[in-house]
Formats: sequence, structure tokens, C-alpha cells
Amino acid sequence: MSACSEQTSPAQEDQILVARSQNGDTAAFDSLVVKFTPKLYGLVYHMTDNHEDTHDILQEVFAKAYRSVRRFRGGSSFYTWIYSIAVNMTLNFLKKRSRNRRFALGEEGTGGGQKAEPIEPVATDDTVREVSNRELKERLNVALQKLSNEHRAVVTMFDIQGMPHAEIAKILSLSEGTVRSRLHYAHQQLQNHLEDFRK
Amino acid sequence: MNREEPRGPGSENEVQKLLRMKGLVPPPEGYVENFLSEFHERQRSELLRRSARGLFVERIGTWLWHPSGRGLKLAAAGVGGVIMMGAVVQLNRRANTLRESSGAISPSTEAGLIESFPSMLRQNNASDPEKNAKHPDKNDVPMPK
Repeated sequence: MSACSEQTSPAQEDQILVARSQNGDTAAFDSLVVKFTPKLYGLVYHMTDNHEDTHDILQEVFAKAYRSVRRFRGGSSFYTWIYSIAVNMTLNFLKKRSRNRRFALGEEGTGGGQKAEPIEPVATDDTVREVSNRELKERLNVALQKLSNEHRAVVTMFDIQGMPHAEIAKILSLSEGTVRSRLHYAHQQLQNHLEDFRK
Repeated sequence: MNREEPRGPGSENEVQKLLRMKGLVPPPEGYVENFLSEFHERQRSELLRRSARGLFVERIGTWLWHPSGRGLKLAAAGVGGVIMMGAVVQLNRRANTLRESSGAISPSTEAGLIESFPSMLRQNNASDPEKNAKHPDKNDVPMPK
């Protein structure tokens, strides 16, 4: 793997590993798992906000990828393909999770994230200034969990993972325009949630 | 993975800066190695769990979708499917014929027998008065007139 990485681009390297996996080389698939686990971990964790759920989802993602790698035709990069599996599986998981929570709460759930404590209005400017960076990040986490799953997915991919609009559009099977409008809406929502801290 | 456009000044930018500050969440140290060994374990147990039928279906699917001669394979699978369906229909027909010839009671006949059962019982009782006298309890059931 390291020998070929000197001559080939990461995408080509992935292609080689995929081709070997398709021919039954399990070590090649292991290399793909090792390569993509850290990246996908960040993505799924930001969407679920739970380490155990992230772990379980990633196991399912790679199990599914392993089962269907023979059918992967290379129409997109392996990176896009595995990301779309991960995002779709995470969105399905989040739907089920919020449905279960609503059911557990007797249809009175808010549909928000698990740690979504309400953001209390901050009384004075002085207290706002005292809020540390860490606290701000915590508030941001809470605000992120208040977004819908679809909006959180777009924000995670664009703002946190630094993916371009076109790539996100491919992964989510959306138009670039929809991705941009979802991002804009999500940013507005986050601004509203963090209004007191931004003053 | 490059950011597409430079962001101009504006309030949206502040949120984006904050989001970037959050940064990527790397998995804990040694996580990937453990993850991989658990993945192997799960793969093995999944293989064991999968039934012979599941494996057969999967292999057929893989064989069908493999690019070499896919059209021919699909056509062969179609013909195979039609033959299988024909065989099933034929077997059903034979089973019906056998049932009829062996004198099995059809559902409609069975319903007719059930309806006529009370009158048959009444006739039977009337033709055997001695038996009725010996076993009066058998006549306890009121007969519809």
C-alpha cells in the first residue's frame, strides 16, 4: 500500500484497493477500513453525538460496504460511495432514534438531540463576555443537535469536514443548490441559537 | 476536500468559524485496530449465521451482476424462472387431480354435509326408538322442527 502511494494519487490508490477487494482480497478491504474509519468516525459522531452509536453504525457501514463492494462499478470515487453509505445509514439511524424517543415520551418529545438542554437567555452583557471558548463550543454542540438531521449532515460535511458543495451533493443525491440553501438555513438557525453569545 | 470559496464578512461567517473550531473528532487511540478486529469477528459470525439459502441467493446475485456476459446470464435466469414457475403450476394441477380422484371431500360438499347434519340425525333417531329409550341422554339435544 505504501509502495503504490508514492506513485499514485489517493483516489487511484483507493481504486486499486477496491479492485483487489472485489477479487476477494480481504487484506485490501482491511486497508480501506483502516483508511476511512477515522474520517467516517468524525462525520458520524458529529451527527449522532454518541460514541457507542457511532461505533455500531460504522461497523454496519463497513459490513454493508464489504457485502456490496463487488457491485461497486466506480461511477463515483470509493470515498463518495462509502460516505453516502455512512450518511444514509446514520440518517436512518437518527430517524429511528427520534421515533423511539418520541414513542418513549408519549409523543411529547421535542425531536431534538439527546443532550439538547434548552438555551436559557443570558441576562447581561457581562456574563456573556465571561463565557469561555469551551462553553461556547458546548453551546454550539447543543445548537447543532437542535438542527434537523438533514441540516446537521450538511453542516458536518461542509463546515467541520471541509467537503465541497459538489461532493456533498453527490453523497446526498441532491443538487448543489439544495445543499447551499440547506447550509444557509442551518447557519441561520445556529446563529439564532447562539445569538446571545455573539453579542 | 478544499473549501470552495473564500467567505466574505458577515454574521454567517462567525458561525462557520465556530464550527471549524469544533474540528474533527478523531477516534480514541488504538480505536481503529480494535475496530478492525471486531469487524473481522462480526464478519465471521455473520457468515456462520447466514443460511445456505441466503448464500445461494447471494452467489446467484453476484454471478448475475458480474459484468462478463451479464445479458446472457439474465436471459438464462429469466428462462430458468419461467421453467420453475411452469413446474410449480404443473405440480399444483397434479395435486388437485389426485385429490379429486381419491375421493377427498371438496370444501363445497363439506359445507353441504354440515348443513344437512341435523335433519340426518333426526331421521336416524326416529328410525331407532328402542335405542332412544335405552339412552335418553342422547336425545337431550332439542331438534329443530
